[in-house]
Amino acid sequence: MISFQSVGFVFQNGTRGLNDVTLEIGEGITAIIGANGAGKTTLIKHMNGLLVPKRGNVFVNGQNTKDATIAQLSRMVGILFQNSERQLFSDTVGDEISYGLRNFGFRDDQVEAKVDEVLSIFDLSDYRDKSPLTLSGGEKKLVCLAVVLAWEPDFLVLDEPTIGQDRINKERIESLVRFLASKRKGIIIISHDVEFLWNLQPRVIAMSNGSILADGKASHIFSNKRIIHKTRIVMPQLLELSTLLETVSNPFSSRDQAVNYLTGLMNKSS
Amino acid sequence: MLGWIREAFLFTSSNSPLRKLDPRIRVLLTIELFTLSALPNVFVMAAIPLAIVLMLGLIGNVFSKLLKAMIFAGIFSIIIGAIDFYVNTDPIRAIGVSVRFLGIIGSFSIFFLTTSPDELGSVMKRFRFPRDIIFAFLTAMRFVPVLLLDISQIIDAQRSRGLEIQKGNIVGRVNKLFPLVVPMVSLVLERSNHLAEAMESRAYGSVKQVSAFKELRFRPVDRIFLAISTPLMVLAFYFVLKF
Repeated sequence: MISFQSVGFVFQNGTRGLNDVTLEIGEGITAIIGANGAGKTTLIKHMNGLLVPKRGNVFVNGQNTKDATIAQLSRMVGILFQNSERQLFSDTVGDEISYGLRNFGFRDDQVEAKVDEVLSIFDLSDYRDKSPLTLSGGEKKLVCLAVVLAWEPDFLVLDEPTIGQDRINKERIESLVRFLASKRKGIIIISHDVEFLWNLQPRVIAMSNGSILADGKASHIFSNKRIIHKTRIVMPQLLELSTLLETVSNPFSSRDQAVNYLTGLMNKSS
Repeated sequence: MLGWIREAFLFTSSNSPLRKLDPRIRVLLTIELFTLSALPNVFVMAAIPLAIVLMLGLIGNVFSKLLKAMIFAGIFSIIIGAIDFYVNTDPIRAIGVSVRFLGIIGSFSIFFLTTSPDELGSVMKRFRFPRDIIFAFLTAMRFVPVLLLDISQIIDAQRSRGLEIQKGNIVGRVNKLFPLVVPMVSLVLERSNHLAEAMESRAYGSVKQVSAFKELRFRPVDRIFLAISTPLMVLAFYFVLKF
């Protein structure tokens, strides 16, 4: 469990990053949405101790982040940052993945096994001995995801994971998120890709100006026009279509019925 | 620390009276303060240019940022003073050397805090620096905040993978810089390449003489400032050189 208790944070230049945030995140999929500068990245940086609250406390599995090192917290909370490919430095993809594992004290045999495992999950086994710096943008992103997944943190935080990814890789990431959720991991996703989020039907936390604007099911949050406006996202297409259908005579008795029917239709066609 | 460097030395648009002066006046002021700071060996004389720098910081509305530069430089000035004391065993002289260093840093900090890259480019152009030199210098200046942000992001990412820079012996700590330096160099090369492509796409270098949106012109406020500051500077130089 990641627990924020009345957390306030102000940057050095006086900008308010977080404003009295209280929330709990457990296992399952949680999406965090918000306009640029809403405080999403500031929030996730508090989860592994990169930032420490000026007011209030953050607990990760009962451990106060003020009393733990970043390394200790990162063992529990793995973060894939938005520009994660900038961290790549090793000679080979295999070395890159093993770097974090060695920092966390895994034995050599464990390191080898974990590297093989994550490379096969992402279909990157052929890239094991290649330089990560020579890969394409999308491939680099997958390597970075493999890097974080390797040490099996309890929580996986993904900051804009679908940027620069083609349809196949997006589906791969989606499958992985579902798989991890089924293993009772906590997945936290920051994304503006509403279609990607809609498919996952996560718990959605909407942020604005460093505060929690709303917290609820995807269907409720994404259909709320005030939240859509404040977080500057677009409504998922299925939801928008069913909303439009409400304005004309349509065979559905409710929006939910329309959404369910159309979703079923989309799933059949794919 | 990176945030402090950014705040203490990088230009941010502000309502500073010093900004109203022609940038050539500010260059002259910086050269005068630098020379004044570098000359004296005696502590009392070294304090004069430092006092002028701090006063300009107050007048120029950049005092808090200037103070950050002073505090940052203070760490190095203590080291420099300690080395001088070790060599010369004269505490007064050592303090004077430290104060000189602070004055030098302060004079440049004032300049960079109040002068935008565009203004500096105009001055360099007026002094007939080659266009490529001007562009390279200003690009380096402009990219400092970008690179500081990049370094910060790389450090965050590596720390999130368990890197603990502070732990271990000296050799271990040096090795731990590798995951920071390699991505940084890679990123810098990538950015340079992107910038080169962008500038070529915007026809950089296609004409020899490029016009400027704003031309430098001396205004009455510049003449008044020169009239007041020149005798004061002459007096300051007199006292510093005499004693």
